[in-house]
Amino acid sequence: MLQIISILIFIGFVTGAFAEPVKVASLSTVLTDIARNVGGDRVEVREIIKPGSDPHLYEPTPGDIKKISNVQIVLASGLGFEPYLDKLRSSVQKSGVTFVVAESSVKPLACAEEDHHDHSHSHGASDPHWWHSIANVESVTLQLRDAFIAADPDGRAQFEANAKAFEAKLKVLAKWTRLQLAVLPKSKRILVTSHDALGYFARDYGFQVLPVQGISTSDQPSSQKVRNLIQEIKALGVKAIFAENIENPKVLQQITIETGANLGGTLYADGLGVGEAGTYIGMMRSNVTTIVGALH
Amino acid sequence: MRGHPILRLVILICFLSIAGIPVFFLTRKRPESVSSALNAEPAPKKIIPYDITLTASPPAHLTVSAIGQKALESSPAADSLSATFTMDSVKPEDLVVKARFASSQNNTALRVEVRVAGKTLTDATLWGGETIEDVVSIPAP
Repeated sequence: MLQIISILIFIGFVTGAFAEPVKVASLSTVLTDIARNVGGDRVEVREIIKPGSDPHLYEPTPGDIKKISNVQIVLASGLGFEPYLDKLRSSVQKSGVTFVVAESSVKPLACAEEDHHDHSHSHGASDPHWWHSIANVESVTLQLRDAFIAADPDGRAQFEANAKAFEAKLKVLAKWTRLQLAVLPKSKRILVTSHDALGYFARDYGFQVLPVQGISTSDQPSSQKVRNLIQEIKALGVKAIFAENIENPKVLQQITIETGANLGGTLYADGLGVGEAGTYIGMMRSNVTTIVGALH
Repeated sequence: MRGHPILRLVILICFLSIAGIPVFFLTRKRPESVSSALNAEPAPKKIIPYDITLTASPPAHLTVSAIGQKALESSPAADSLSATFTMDSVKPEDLVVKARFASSQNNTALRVEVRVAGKTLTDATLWGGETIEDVVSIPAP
């Protein structure tokens, strides 16, 4: 009897260990990291958007569509962050791909009216940069856990354990963030950034965002808007302004010259970077450290 | 057309004046945007007294800091700590509360109450182990 049980356990272990991983394509560097944390070795994530690239300017190539057609799950941010999403969905509809879109589990933040109408391509009425709220990332972690369980029910225990472990890391990150930012007086919590991507962060930690561009990096500011921004920076006595990892900081440099504010460093606004900022937790730590270092 | 020279001069002046109106409106210096100017104005400060009470279980070394500076400290370990201090009520600063318990414990608790003129603004209980440390945000009264 004991031998039969041992053989069954061994067969179960072998089939589990060599089970085909769930194939996932990700249109967001942040979702790629969450998927890898939750999925572990039961999920194979193909990055369609790579760290350091500008997702606002991305359009899927025929090669990308072919890659996406061969997966079981596609991860997308939603809230208008991927204007091509509906078209992509209809292109790969026949291959039975499931789209898991983060917008269905996050608490959206309404765009500033000016940002929403400042640009030509299609965005929703909500800010699509949901990952700058750690609470939203916790919700998306659970969403991905459930999507992976639906695709691979045998992996339930592993997905649940991985999601729980990642949630615990997010809670540590949230507390660390609160403690770091507590040294900044409320009057100094002003973020002058290249584009309006840090709305969720601002909402959670009491910052005011003064962006040069709108919600998308493709929104170009008018000279009147830049003039008004310079006046506002001077009036509020803003100490530092921030560049982004995927942008040309020339306009910001010009603003620093005219206002006397310092260039406070580089923030990761549209997704993960490389090196220490190559994970979600690393990216948030980098952003918080840069902000506190420049404004304190 | 021939006419009186003065009449021709008057007609010419009228013509030039009418032609100059749109040029004047296009080239005049506009006043700054009112909304922009209002946005740039920092909100006026209103300083009021806040009563804070920390209650620890079991007794602990208690500290309260604001904007990176220690504002309040119990010495030695105490089961509660109360004080009144003043802050801007328009944008009250976040408080960092910390309790360091004497021996390693698993189930420790720290209650933080913040009141203004008897009205409770914040009443939070934090749970932890040997040390409890977190940020308490205070809403505007």
